[in-house]
Amino acid sequence: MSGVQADIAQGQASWAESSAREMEVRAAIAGVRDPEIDESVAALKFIVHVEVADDVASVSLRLPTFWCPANFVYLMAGEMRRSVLALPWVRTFELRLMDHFAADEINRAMSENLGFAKAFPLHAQDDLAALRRTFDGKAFLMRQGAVVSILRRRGMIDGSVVETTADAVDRMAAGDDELAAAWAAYREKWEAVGLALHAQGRIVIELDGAPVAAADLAVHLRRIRGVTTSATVNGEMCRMLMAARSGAGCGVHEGGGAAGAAAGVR
Amino acid sequence: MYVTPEGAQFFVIDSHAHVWDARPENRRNYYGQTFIDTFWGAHVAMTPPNERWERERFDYYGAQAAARDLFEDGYCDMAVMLPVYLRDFYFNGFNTTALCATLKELCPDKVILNGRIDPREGQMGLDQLEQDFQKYRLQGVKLYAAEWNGSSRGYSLKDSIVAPYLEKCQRLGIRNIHIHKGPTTHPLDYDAYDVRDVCVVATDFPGLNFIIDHCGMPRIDDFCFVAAQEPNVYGGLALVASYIHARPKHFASMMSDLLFNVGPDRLLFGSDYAITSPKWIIEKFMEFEFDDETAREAGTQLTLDVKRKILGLNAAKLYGIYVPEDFAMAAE
Repeated sequence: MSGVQADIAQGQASWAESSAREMEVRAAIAGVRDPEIDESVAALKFIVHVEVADDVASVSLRLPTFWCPANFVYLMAGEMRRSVLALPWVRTFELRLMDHFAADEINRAMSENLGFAKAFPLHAQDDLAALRRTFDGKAFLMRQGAVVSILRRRGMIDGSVVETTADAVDRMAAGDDELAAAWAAYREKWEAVGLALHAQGRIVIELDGAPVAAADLAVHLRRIRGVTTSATVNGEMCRMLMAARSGAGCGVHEGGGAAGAAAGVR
Repeated sequence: MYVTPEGAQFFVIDSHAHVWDARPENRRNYYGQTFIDTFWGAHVAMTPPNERWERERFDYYGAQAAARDLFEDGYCDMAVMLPVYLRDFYFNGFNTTALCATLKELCPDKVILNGRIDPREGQMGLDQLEQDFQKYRLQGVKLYAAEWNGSSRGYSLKDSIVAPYLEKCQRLGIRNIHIHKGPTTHPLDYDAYDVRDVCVVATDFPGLNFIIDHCGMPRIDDFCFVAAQEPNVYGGLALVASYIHARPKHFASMMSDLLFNVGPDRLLFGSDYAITSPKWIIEKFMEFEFDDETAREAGTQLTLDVKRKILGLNAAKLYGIYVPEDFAMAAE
């Protein structure tokens, strides 16, 4: 093999390797969710580019508008950073937030692992724990609503719905893919809101863990419905603006996103 | 005025309209460009293709075009102007009271000209409010809580700087306070769109009406909660109504939640002109009906009387507008 051929072969090998690594990075961040609307960044098409050079992974992120809130962007970017750095070969994570009013601050914060208050010393007093808790709470309720909606569609009456325990849902979810998916999504959120899931514990509960009584179920579901409507329409606004920003215009569209699909409480 | 094929007449007030100047020569910086770009994105995203504007016209359309779009083509008997200055982004301001006043000069009987306040401007702002009131006889003002002002990125209604302005409004007889949240409010670590601070001012100033623009979107859930508690809180439907073409099902969900929680007497139609225009929104709204399940969830169908209230009668009450008897409720 000539020197030139060896160079080409080596180049192809490293190209193949970095391409495989790009796929790994894409897979790692695909599940990161926009905390405000509880949908994945992949579904929302926020990721425009992934690049790998040796042990450096760069993710380019473009949002629906220049003015999307900095705090939610920071939360999403931080999740990406954690997910990508969890890959064994990644040493450095770089964010390239494009066309955004706080791009410099957030990109730097991701490179230097700065907390939110450090990233915005003039404009933030605190890190984002309270904000994250608020939106974890909303996601918890929406996901609970999705499970309840399926239980009702399977013919369960309200008196039984409120008494349903975790292990009862486990049993019902065996062989019921729709319920299994909604249940898995709901289970995932318990820890984030500071609640522990017990096999004999009820699953239709308030955010403070208090079980919902049958007489209060309608009001409870009405509240969840409002939270779900809000997240769903915001997700649709993101999609519409995203399409407009990428020049695709925007046609009439009736499908909901993940939040819409999970909404259920309609 | 909108007239149904059966001859029923509707008195229409667009409670959310602007005349702005975002031409390149008025842009102070890149923010000025990105701000109008974001509006343009919403225009493109929500407007039916055959109603879309040329981009150049979107930057600046002037009072003549606004009069035609609102009052000739757009079915509006009246329109409420909501100024937003953004002097940090535009040399002469974006959508100033003075610019909105050019439409009032053209159509004095059709335009309700509101002013604007920014509580961060201290005594200077209070004096300006007094002058604006004397000059324009304001009945309402707009607060844009996310507006950049020097090193500030916004404020909360709970901040102590706000009350003196609302006291002044009350003294002058300015009763309608339009509030708009936004993404960059200080401090950034809070949920900038949070509308729950409205409870504080609504309780402290029971004599004032608080109209929350966009029904608090993207926090329409929290807005429903606030409005259900506070009788002097109203929902401005700008942006919500604009979903009616591109996302009709989502428009229905929002209207259903709003009608259930806030009721038909405290919702005000707004087109957000010129992001979107009243003509096509009103035509689609008049045709719009809930399916049975949505009507059950809402506690009401979108009856002609519900539409009458939303399209004009509710705003007429807030602004003391006399509505001729021809437009009265049908008592269905």
